[in-house]
Amino acid sequence: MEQLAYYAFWTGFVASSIGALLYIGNAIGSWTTYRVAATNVGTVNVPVSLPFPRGIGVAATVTAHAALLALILSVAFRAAAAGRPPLGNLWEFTVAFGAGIVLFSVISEWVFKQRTVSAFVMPVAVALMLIAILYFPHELRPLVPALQANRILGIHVSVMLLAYSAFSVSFGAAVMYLLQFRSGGGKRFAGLPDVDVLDDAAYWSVIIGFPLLLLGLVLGAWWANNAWGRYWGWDPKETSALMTWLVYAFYLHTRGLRGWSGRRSAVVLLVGFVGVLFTYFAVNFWISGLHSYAGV
Amino acid sequence: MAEARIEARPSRLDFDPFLWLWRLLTSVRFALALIGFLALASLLGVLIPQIPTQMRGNPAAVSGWLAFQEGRFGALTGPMDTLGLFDVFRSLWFVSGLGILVMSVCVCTLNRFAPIWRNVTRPQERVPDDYFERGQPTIGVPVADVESLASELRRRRFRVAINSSADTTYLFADRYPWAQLATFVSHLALILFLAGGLVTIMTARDVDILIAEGETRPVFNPSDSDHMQIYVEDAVGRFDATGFPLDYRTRFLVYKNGEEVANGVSTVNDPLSYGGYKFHQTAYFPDGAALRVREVSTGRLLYDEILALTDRTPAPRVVVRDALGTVLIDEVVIPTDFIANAAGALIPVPGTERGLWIGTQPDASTGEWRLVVFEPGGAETGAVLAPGGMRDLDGISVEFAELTDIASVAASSVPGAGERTIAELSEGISGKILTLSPVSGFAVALAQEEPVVVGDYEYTFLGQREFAGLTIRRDRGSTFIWVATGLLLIGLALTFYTPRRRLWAKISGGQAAFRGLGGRTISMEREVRRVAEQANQGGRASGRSDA
Repeated sequence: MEQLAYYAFWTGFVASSIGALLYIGNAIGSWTTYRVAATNVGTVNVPVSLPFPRGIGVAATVTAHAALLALILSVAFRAAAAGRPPLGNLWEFTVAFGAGIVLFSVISEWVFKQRTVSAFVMPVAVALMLIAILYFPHELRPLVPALQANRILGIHVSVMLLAYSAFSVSFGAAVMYLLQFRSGGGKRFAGLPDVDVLDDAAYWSVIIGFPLLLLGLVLGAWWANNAWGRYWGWDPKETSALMTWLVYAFYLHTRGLRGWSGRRSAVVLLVGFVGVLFTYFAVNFWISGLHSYAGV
Repeated sequence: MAEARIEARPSRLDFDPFLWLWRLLTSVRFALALIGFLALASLLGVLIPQIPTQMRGNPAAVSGWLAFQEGRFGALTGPMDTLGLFDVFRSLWFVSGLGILVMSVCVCTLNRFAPIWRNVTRPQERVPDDYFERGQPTIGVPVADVESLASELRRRRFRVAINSSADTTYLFADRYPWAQLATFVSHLALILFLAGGLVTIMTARDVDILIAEGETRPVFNPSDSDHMQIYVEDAVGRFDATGFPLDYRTRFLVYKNGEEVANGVSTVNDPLSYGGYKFHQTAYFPDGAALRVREVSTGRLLYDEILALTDRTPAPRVVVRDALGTVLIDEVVIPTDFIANAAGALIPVPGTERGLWIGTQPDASTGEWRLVVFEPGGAETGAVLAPGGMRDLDGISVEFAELTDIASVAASSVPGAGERTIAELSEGISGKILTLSPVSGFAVALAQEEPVVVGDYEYTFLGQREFAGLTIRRDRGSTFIWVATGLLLIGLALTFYTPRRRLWAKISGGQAAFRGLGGRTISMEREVRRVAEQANQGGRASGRSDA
């Protein structure tokens, strides 16, 4: 079963990678090639823009769905092999995180009828899974006693990764917003959505991720209260997750504030996702604390 | 002749500090600045090492810790300490920031309650015409019949009000206006969070104890109303074949006023609860030794303690061979002689009349442990070996096979042992061995339940004992936290997920221009277009028109 989980992960990773490329192609819309043209002074190479096949978007969507299915199976097989939620070390969490990002990418495509946001979200999932392949051992190992609380482990960590996954959509939308924004109005890139759509997509993902992150923080506090006798101890992991939550609270308070909508809000969303990655990587690898045992 | 208008410039005497403060605390930009400040402070608290909790209240430990930080921060250490950067979350500026945040939330709530309540209960149903012309573009939809439109909106749970004038109809639709009040629930929750933290700081009680199996320890002073005693029946640590910890649990009983009031098992994630206190499994220590000493002449029990062997003493495993290669000794040497920084013991070589003093000492330059071997009265001066090294000493070879360590502690007040004796726990052929050295000048090796008499005293090693570390804690602030959590989640859910919407429409000549509040731009436009479409279909079906 552990091997099945590993094969399913690789299937999901490859599908996600292909899907990311297809989404990017769909967003770009065309590709540039060079044709040789004859002139009276000799042959010259002339750049020619060729559109991608019309079905590239559909192919991207189908591939993303296949990737999601494979990653979900990977998580399920791993859970069956381990006899516990597969969220106890960085390999397991990263695989689940990647699955979560693909899930939210698929959902946002369905909600907003836009494939282009996924062009900026799917690569994040691919990058995370690549990091897992390169740096995190995937062998199944027992958990330390502090993590042997299957129910709360599963719920707390699942909620956190769903929150982070939702924020990845806001990250992608914010990047696109900054690319697409023109101070005089209109669209910089014809193939990308209007900034209103991107703003909506970002806001939609934040109002999903923000309460989830709060719930995850509180579940962690409840677990800490049971295990360590205190619900909050300014542990680096707790604190950096709270810091991330504050950044998104900042974003939510800027909406409707004159002079803060648009690009400034998009920058705040980028900072928020940096906070997510900081909480996820930096605290595990470089900063010691009570959460450090859930490391590599 | 025009009158000259003299405008009085505001004088400094007109400055109202309370008004200024009120405006500051109700300012959204100030709230943003506060949130940003707290986020930045949190980042500092994560990036900069913080004084460990267990060192607080111990100035000597904190000084030592700060001295260690000088290796990283150099001359900046002092200023950083002064600024509270090594204790960010207890620093005055951080706590003040939290306090100002509470004040800001309270003042904002008071300031906004009346207008929001008014907005909920008496919304502005009629807006001026220029509202549809300025700012965000309107949503234009064809409308065949205003009543059909109103019916469709009511079907979607809008409260609808219609005003007509001349050839223009003004429509107001409002759905779930009460959801605006959810912001007060969320912000009240924030205040409760901080109140809970304050209650915790002011009233929480906790104590850490380490108890051996078979021991009873008091919790709190006898004069304390919460005084109780804990008796540990069994402390368990389970490990896999590689030594990886799998489980820690403790079975214990709680006594109050001499009566048993609670008993059960605490694991890491499942503490026992009694009397508002939780008994958390926080530590496990396997190396305890129960030692009993009796006076031989009277049989009186003089010493009955469980030693916690918290130190580790290097114990080399050596292999001694004769000239033919036959193994004479292959064992771990338990040190009983402690000379300067060396520790070892005199080991007789079987089959000979020779003895070797074998011990370990750290290398002066590298700090690595070396094996020291010499033969008292022997021809050769001895040898110092690195791990894996071997030396021939006048016909016998000594190999430093590996360096292990054994649990040990310097025990005091052991009868017959002077001020201090080293107790070491090692593995013997048929069980654990407790070695005491010196005891009346001797090293005494005690097998389990086999008393040994030395001088006037009888020493009995009763067996290995495991220790359980428990944290007993009561925190009334946690109730505030869970209530605040529930309120905050409810407030956020109502704010974000209630499909609140407020629409104004100006309908004229079969066309409606909609503007609204609530929800996302795209979803509002979608809903308005769907409403118009449904209304127009319904109107056509009933044969009505707006003409």
